[in-house]
Amino acid sequence: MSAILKVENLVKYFPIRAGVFKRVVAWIKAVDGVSFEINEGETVGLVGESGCGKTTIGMVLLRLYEPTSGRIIFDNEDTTYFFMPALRARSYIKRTYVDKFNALLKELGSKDAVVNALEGVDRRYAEMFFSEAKSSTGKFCSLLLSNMDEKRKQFRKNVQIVFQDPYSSLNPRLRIKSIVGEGPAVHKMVKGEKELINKVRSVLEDVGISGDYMYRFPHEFSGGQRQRIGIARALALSPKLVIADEAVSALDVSIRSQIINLMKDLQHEHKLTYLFISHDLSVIKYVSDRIIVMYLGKIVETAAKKDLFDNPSHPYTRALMSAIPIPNPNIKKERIILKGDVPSPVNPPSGCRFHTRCYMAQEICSKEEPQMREISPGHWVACHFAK
Amino acid sequence: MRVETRRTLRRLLRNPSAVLGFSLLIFFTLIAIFAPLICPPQSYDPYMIPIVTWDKTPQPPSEGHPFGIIDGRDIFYGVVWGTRTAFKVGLTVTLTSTLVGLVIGSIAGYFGGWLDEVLMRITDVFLSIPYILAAIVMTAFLGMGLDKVMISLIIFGWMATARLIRANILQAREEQYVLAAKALGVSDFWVITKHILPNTIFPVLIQATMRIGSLVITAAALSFLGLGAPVGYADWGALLNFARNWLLGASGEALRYWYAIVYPGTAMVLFVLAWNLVGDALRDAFDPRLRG
Amino acid sequence: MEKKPVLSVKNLKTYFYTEDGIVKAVDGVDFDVYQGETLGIVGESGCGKSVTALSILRILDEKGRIVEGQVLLDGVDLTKIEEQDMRKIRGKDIAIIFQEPMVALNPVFTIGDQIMEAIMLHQKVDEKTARNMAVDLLRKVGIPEPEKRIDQYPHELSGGMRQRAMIAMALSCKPKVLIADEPTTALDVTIQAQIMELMKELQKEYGMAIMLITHDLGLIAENADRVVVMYAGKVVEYADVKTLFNDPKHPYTWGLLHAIPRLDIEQTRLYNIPGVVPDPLHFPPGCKFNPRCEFKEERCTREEPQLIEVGENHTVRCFFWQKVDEAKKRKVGEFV
Repeated sequence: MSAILKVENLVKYFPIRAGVFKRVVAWIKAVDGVSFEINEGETVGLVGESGCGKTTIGMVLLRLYEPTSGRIIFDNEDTTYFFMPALRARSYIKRTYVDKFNALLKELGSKDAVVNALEGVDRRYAEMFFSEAKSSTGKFCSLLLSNMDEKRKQFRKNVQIVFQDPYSSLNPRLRIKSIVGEGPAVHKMVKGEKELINKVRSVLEDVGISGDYMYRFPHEFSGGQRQRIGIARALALSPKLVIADEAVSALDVSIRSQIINLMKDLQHEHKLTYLFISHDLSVIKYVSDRIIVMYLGKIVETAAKKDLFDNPSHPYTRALMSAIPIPNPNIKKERIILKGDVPSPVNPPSGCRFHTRCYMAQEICSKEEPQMREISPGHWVACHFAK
Repeated sequence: MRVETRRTLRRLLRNPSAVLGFSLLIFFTLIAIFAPLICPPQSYDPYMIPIVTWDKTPQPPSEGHPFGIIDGRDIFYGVVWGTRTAFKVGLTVTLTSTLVGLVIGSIAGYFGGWLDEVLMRITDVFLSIPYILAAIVMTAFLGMGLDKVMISLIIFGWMATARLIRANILQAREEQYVLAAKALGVSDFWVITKHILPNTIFPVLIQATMRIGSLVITAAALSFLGLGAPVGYADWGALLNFARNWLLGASGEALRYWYAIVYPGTAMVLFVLAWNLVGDALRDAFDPRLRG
Repeated sequence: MEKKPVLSVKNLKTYFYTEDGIVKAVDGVDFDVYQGETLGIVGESGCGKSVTALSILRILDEKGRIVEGQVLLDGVDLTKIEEQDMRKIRGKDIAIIFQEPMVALNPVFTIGDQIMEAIMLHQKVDEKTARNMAVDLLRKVGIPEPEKRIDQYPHELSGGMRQRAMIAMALSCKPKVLIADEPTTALDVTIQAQIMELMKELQKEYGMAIMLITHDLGLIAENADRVVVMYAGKVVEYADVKTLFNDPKHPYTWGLLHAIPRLDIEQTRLYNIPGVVPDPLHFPPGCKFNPRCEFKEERCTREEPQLIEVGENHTVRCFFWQKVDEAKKRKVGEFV
């Protein structure tokens, strides 16, 4: 299995502006140093409560928001600079690669040694830097920044999203054909009206909607059907990664299971990779292979599904699990009731961000930020006391 | 969509003020279209009201001059051809200023940032000048004439639209279907024209409709002050300008020259009323909260 | 011992007269609510569970009308009394809390003003006493520093705190019945756990009856004593909570229980209830669930089933409820 998406130290701050000159008075630290990987063909569940930054991560990955810092590698290509203005992109490339390569060169002495010391994207870029670009910063930047429009298009085609709200996610003034067909048309995947219609028909039928409905408007469909159309829109581009942001949260119970089953089926048929973002741990448990738990802009625990449920190790994960009501009156479980509310992401607590609500908190927790530790293979926890 | 349209129509027809507004509008439109048949032009410029007598004193309605005569000119002719002028001024100014406002507001709203900041400050500057005063000064600067009046009304008439469309776009920009379109790789131009404008334009159209009426009053005010149409031009404001000297009536007979005011005045009031009622009706018809 | 219900709803029918026709939002609903007990009403959107609550309080919009049935509060039929008498009952005998407290709280008044208003409306106390009572209530619902919070406006509180303030307001007159309409749906799960815990404690202390309206079967299982399952304006199943979850008889209840992703069991595939909730203007003939039912027979499309007693205090609106028992043996997922 290879990682299709690699996120390194991702940070997204939103400015709070005030006053006549719109001065930045504070930052909302929505995502504050998050790293994770998604392997091809798997479903990663991203779970957390409101304000934990999970939706922001989705938007940043789609590059609907620009990241504040960090690196996003998709399909063995650094895509971080794809949507930056040219000057910023250059400075990013210089900062991230050129400076690093030159520093390594000084340290290791030879170009080959630098290349061999690196792996993945870094290695490829180092080779490109030393041979093709002949160690020239300008040339290296031009190489990476060539063909930008094509690269952006490829990225857009490969990463798609399914939104939460089946009502606001479809343009009310367009017919289903235009909504689903827009992507294939923009990316010139079809030639002519006839091919377009065939494409739309086949995608609609994939998601369980009759192709004859393509000339209808969104308001003629129920919530569940609209969500299917939203999925069809994403699917029409044959993406590699689909980000599902609370994709079933707004649906009724009986419709939700239909959509979840559909998404699972489509994953098999189209070899999709999912990042499934939700606040609902039961849905996440059902759909995911691996789970990431977030709290206030940070990852607190990540593990394969079974490991996480067999051995939840972060107190927040445990509290979250215990808070979910079980539809079985025979089970009376111990409930961990957390104190208070989630603190504001503008002024997150010092040390461990969870310590203000944690039932295990000690003195160290407010002073020192716990680092991610691997407590068993693939099971990472950011807690001083995790075993 | 057809069900929706039918429901909207049904609601329009059930609303008496909407029916009145549309009827008035149709009436005025017919007059404007058939003006050459109702009052055949007598000189090479049909908009110049023909002079029928050299006696400057107003003369009451009579056979052949049903609305009377003022300044030697037939009021009926002026009112009928003035309808064309009203449409011309109202539609041209509204359409152009709305378009200008639309472009400025869309750019400001969609791209945001410093561009938004600059455009909105410019808008604020324009808004801070009183409309009528600005129009008077501008017209005086450009020189007299109906076209100059229209130009100044356009220059100072786009700000409300710009603000409205900007606010609507700011709202629509966060809609999920707009985000989805961006994620599909749709270009900015298409995102604006295909996804944002069609969903934000209705309030602008309604606002524009209502403005047509009030613009005619503003233009008339300028004509009344002698800044607008040349003497003898078929324009309701210009007709009222003639009546200015006779407003007080004759000694002992305050209402002697009533026809000089009442006919052009009524035409103007009904015209403004028509557009306002239509605007109201459209707003109700497209208000999603009123949808069944 | 035969208990007497505090609130008893009998054959309640509430219709909405819209431009497009009559919407039978609630079409024959019966249940009893007992003192100190929680009645859960569960169903999907549009099933009529919220309209039932609004009908009990008679706060429907102008298009809605109670066309039939009784709502008996200690034997008094609330559908028959004058509006001014009803006003005395709202807030005093029956209180309600909504899903979104931001909508229910007036943004221009402080939390204290609103709680005090509720107290002074039904009790003859002066302002100072009312203020003290309000502070006590806020403390009771777990709002820290109530003396300070009482002078804050709704937007200054978090979602969980607002819902606590709503509960304080609802409890101000010690109602006999508290209607909680999706009280935690807008809240995070850890906050939901806090609020549900609080409601349980308060119920114990005040001995009030709670009507818990929700779409969340988990909340029902953990908090309700008896459960009403609604579908398309009708009660389809009514039983005590253990019977309902261990031995559901209606195909819809059975389907729902298998359609939800669950933490307590391993599931290979969720059960699919096909189709969608029917449009209330065009209900299917016969049993309203029949187009989505995997056990339907010809009779279901012709004839509307009545509630049948299938066990002690267990009623089901289905002709072929025995079939569900057979289906249980198939074991869709691991169950109980």
